[in-house]
Amino acid sequence: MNLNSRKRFVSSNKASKILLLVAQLLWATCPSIAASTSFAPYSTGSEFGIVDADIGLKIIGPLHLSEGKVSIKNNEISVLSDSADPSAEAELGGAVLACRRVVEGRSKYVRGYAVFTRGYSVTALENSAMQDSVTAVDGITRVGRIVDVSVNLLRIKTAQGIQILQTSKITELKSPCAFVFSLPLVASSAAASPTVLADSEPEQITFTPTPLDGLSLASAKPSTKTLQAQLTERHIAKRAIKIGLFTAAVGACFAIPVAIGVITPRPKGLSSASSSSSGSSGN
Amino acid sequence: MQKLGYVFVATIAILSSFSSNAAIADPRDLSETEARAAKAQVSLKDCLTLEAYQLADELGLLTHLSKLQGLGEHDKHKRGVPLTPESSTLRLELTELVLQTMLQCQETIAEIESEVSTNTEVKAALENKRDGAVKTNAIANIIANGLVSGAGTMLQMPFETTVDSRYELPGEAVEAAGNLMSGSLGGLAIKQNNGEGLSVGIKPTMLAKIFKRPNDADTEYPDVIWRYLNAVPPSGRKDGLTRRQLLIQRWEDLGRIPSQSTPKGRLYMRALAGTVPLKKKMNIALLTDRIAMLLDLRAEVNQIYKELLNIMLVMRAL
Repeated sequence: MNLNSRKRFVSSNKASKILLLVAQLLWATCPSIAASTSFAPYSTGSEFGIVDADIGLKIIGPLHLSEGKVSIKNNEISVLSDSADPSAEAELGGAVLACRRVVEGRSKYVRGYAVFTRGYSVTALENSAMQDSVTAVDGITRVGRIVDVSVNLLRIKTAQGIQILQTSKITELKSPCAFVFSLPLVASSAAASPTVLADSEPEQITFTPTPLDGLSLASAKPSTKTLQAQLTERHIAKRAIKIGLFTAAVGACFAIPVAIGVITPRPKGLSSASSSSSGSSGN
Repeated sequence: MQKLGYVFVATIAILSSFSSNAAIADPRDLSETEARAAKAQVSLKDCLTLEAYQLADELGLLTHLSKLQGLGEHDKHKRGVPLTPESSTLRLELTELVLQTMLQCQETIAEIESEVSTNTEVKAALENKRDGAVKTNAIANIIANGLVSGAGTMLQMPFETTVDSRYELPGEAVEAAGNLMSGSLGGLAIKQNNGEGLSVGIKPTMLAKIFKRPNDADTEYPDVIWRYLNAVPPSGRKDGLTRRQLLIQRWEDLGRIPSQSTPKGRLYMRALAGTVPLKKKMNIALLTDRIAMLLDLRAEVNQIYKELLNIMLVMRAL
């Protein structure tokens, strides 16, 4: 192969590689599930508002979703692992809090907290060794375990009992089950009217775990023993009780009837027959 | 005579040369490699199986194979003559892609086998416990049915020539108690036969992504393997089901999982996938189903090697 044909081959190979790369980039920017997001402030001039969104999501925390979908309706959020299944149950469910519009340079975003308290996979997010922390506008930080969250209220169980907070008053939240989300805002009209966003690019949609440093570690034992521990544990007390009960039952089966037989007097016919036979033998 | 002999030998030589030429010209006598090479020079589709062609297309290898076909260097390759740099580069790239795919396949199989091994050990431990419990139950049954019932029967026997009915009622009571104990132990044995259940938190298995449930980083599939499982097999089927869907359908047909359209089926599927916490529900039956399904999945992933071999053989033939 001469030098010119070699050069032509190398350049054609490079060109095909570049074309393939461009095609892959173009494909990556076209989300497989169309994303649509809308944001409506609570009132004119309000920084916070209501989010409605339907977006595709591949990863949230430790969970990988092959065809995942996040659906936010009136600030209630649910995560499905199979967007193509209409009867799919939600893997995660909860509410979004402190949703606000954020401007960074020329880009605009909707940001807030997503807190999950229910769903099949919520235990995958929970961490019994960490406590949740919620800070409200009063500056007080409540530390405990978030037990329930709805669009308007959040319940946290602290050492002082269950405290109820309005979600509109929450400024900071830290929990293994909470995420800071960011959805890009492409275009907006007047602040008072609902803002409808064009399709968002997947790589700009983020669900970042809330920072857990500084959360005090609760002295909680793991809720489930390891398989090894369960297989090797010996319930000696249970066994002793079972053996004792069985032995008592068997003993009772013998003792009670024998006692009845001993206590019960011999029948009269038998008594007179035996005494007459002993008398005749004496004669 | 001598001349006749020469004519005779010459005639034999000519006739034998015609016959051997006819044998060489017969394509049925070509070796498998030569046959493949002959087909590959004409059309790649004729020498690649449908699955191998699909995989080659998926991996982007068809372009390379077409270029090799265009170079037409099979004879040089066969005779060991140095190949052109273009041909060498193409072959190297093909080999790299095939090797990479093989290693990705092996990575997936390694994870599946690790899970099979772990589940098999736990299942064996549960079966040992179950066997111990059943043995204890059998001993208790011997005592109840043999000793207690037998003693009750003996108490009913007359000990004197005149009937003494003092021990008849107690004997019947003891016999009845023994039978009741035996019956209860039998009922307990049926429950013990299922083995005890263990509690476990969420730990996704390699079945999680197959069922489209959330998985984690350890149970993620390489892209090429996932695309292979989500592709429709090209040969024979008209229902349009992918390999992944066919696996699930087979498991439903075999009764390993209830139908996914029912809540019970979906919950059992989550239990198999390890995406729900189980409270004393991880038992021998669940582990048996899970192991069998993992082995089926491994066999399906292993099929990629057949297609890769076919591609390599075609590359060798070009």
